Amino acid sequence: MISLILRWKFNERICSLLFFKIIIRKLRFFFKSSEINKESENETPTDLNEQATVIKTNLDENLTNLRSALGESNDLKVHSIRFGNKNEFSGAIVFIDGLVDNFIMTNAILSPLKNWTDNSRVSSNTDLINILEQEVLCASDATVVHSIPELAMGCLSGDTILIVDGYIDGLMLSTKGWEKRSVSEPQTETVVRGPREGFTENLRTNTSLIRRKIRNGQLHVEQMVIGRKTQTNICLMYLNGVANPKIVNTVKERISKLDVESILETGYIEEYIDDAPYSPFATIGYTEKPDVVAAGILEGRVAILVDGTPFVLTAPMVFVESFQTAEDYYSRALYASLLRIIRYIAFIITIFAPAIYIALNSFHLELIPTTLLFTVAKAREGTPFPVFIEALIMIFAFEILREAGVRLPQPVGQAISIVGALIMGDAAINAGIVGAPMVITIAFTAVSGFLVPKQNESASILRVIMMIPASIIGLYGVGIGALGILIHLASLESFGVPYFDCFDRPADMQDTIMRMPLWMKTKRPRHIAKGDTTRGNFFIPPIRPHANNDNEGEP
Amino acid sequence: MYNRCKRFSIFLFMMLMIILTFTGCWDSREILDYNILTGSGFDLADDPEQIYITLQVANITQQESSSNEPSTGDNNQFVIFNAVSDTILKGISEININNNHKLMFHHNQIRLFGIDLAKHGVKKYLDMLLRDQQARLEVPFAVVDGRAEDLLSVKLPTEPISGLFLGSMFEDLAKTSMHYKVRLIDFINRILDEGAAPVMPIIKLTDAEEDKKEVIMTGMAVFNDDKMIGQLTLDETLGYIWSLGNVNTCHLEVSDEFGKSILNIIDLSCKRKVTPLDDEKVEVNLSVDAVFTVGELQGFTDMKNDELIKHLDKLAQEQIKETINNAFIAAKNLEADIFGFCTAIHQYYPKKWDKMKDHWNEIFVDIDFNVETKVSISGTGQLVQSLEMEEKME
Repeated sequence: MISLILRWKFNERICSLLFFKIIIRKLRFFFKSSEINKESENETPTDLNEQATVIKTNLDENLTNLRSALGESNDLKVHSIRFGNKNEFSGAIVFIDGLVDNFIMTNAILSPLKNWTDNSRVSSNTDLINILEQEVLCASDATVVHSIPELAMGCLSGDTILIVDGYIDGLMLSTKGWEKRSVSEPQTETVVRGPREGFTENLRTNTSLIRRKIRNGQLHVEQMVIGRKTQTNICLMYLNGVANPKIVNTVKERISKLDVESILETGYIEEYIDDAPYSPFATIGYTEKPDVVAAGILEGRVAILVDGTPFVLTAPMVFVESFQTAEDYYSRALYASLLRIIRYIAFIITIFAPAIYIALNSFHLELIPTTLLFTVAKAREGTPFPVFIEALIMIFAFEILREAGVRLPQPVGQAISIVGALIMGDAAINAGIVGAPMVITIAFTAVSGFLVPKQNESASILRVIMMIPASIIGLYGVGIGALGILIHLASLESFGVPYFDCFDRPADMQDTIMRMPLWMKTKRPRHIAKGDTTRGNFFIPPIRPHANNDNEGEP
Repeated sequence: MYNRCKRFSIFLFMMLMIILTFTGCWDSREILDYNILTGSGFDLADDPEQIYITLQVANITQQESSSNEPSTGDNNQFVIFNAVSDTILKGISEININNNHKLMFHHNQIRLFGIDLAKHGVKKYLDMLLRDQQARLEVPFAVVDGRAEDLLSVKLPTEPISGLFLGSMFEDLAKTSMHYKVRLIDFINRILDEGAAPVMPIIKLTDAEEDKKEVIMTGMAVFNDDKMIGQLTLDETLGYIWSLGNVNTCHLEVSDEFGKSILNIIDLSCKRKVTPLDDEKVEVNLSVDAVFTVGELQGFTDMKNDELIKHLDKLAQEQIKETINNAFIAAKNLEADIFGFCTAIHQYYPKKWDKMKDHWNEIFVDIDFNVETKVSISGTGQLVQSLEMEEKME
């Protein structure tokens, strides 16, 4: 293959046009998402299988087995009880301390058991568990199980287990209750106007937050358990009849094929099921706000919730999604459109500004207005490095500052930004390491980058990459680089939906560069939603309603 | 996975090869390696076959960096380089060799010809200016009444670098009429047109003491082919500019025995009709259409509003007619077709032009020249009558 390319290379002057075509094809080829077709071996979690698996009649033996299945842990509590009319039944309740709510456990299990005296109907061996489950206990959810691993699993997810001596069934009673963060305002996507609640680390809270937004029976919630060691709960939420079944199946298939040890955050899932793992652009969206997820679901997206993280994935993602914020839809359409255009411009600035500055400074001095050229030349005077190195130094310094500010506690972070931004920037100019225009360019670039937080990662990478061709071949290089980025973006796909979707049909364009008024938006995005694609009928809002009222007359 | 990595590395390799082989950074240039040229001047050297090149280069180190550092007066913000040579490029390379920085011509603001050189002929030096890719064709040209070197090395009170001053001065004049700014391309076009005479603004320094000298424009230099043969005065220049039309903001002074008024020209357009009557006689009809506002009014105390407007109309018409006629007479005296009537004949009557072109100068002198004017006064400013009139009414 290399020899082939080399041969092309030698002929490049003769057939540079053909060569360019080949490059484009190659670019597409390399960035095109290829489905992971390899069958991953579908192992079931086997950790607990080695233990004795069935519940025996002997209570002590069962308890020993259960203890060993859970590794003799200190927080495993076993509470032996006797109950019945004459205390003739001996049993044990088993739970893991900290995962259960003691109040629920007492009210749901202990006190009903202790107060239950009418055991005259217990005749056969199996009856007792059924009667307990159906008549005695007050737990919201009870399951009859037959194996030790199931019991252990129940314990680990916060259930309380009741086993009775002489019976081969165990009862798994839902008494989940642990310390959790309450619903609070998210740190990442703050809004001036709009709901302030954000997801928490608790999966159930999160699903309920979405349910509260969409009260619809067609909102399907599908649970999966992923992670050989962590056994993390994962929820898929989508609106049946609106979401494209193909996309839903793809998401389900990709997640179910995962054979990984642990899932600690949605980022794990994102990386495993991403369409373009080598691309700087994310092809799965994430958010911390229930209203954003609800809006996504209503457009036909699939939400992926993972237990233990307040971040929720939405798939598929299109490029324009990065420029949409929740507040766009809560403020007036004109203003939202203005903001959105600013965001697009800022994104272009944040990628291309340093590259263009370098190109102008080292290749196209004639393009700089004369008076500005004097200023730039004056500022550059005495700086030792070429402009490219200068830009690298400043970008590197900026990334260091940002990273320092992010990780530190807020009061210290502010001190860092003052030291960094004011003192270092000024000192760097005074010490003659970099020129003032470069500092301005990088500062402008950095601030612009914050306007599109969802593409901040890609922009940070691309701006450095774009600087390289700019420093080698000037604006021509910037052009080639921009073309490369465009080709790459156009070749990306997210779960079968083109990443650059929304630019091919007027109805889809309504929510791209401009945010059209809601009453104009009658269709859901074409490639994402399937089935029920109509949001509502087009209607004209009551412009001057009183003009009509005059004729009708007030009652 | 291995396959993917291989593919990716091939891709990277290809990208690098494209970037490195398609072109290189041979034309990369750092600002600091260059001297920024702000003006260039050409004078006749002692030997008339040679020229004396003056290049004005901005002295970056002495530029005011910010407002809080007051510039010390005695620092020169520019440096002058000189060379004597028979070709321009030879002189420039001579300057380049003896310098630590190269010269950058992109930001050249003005090109000046000394009046001696202009009279001697400039054609052979224009070749380099046209050929040189670095230089813009938009740079204005001017003839200096005196030596170009003096004008480039003078320190003007308003703008320390005279090149920048002259550049913005012509930029400003071009807002009134683009014909004030004679670019290389205009000049060359006129030279290449058979029969037409190129013009170029002519400027000079006032005879004040050092540091108080100012630049004034004294008219238009008129060329025959590439040699300067004479000059239009400022008033004649005005007539010339008006005859070309497209004038935006300009003043017109009218006066008679009743009073005096300055009219602002808002828009002045001029249509020309050149008709050859026979092979020896050409008729030129100019119809000037102008819109004015009254800028200043003195006198006219006896008139009512309607009368006044009509009167001013008449005065303005006469004034425009007279000014344009004066310009034509001046051109006739120089036997130079600065208006480019020949081009019109060449374009529309090519067959007649073939017969005329050999003795165009004689035909030009004999042209039947008529000016028609149409004037409207669109406004009188905040006042309708002059203050003197108001008083009289009371």
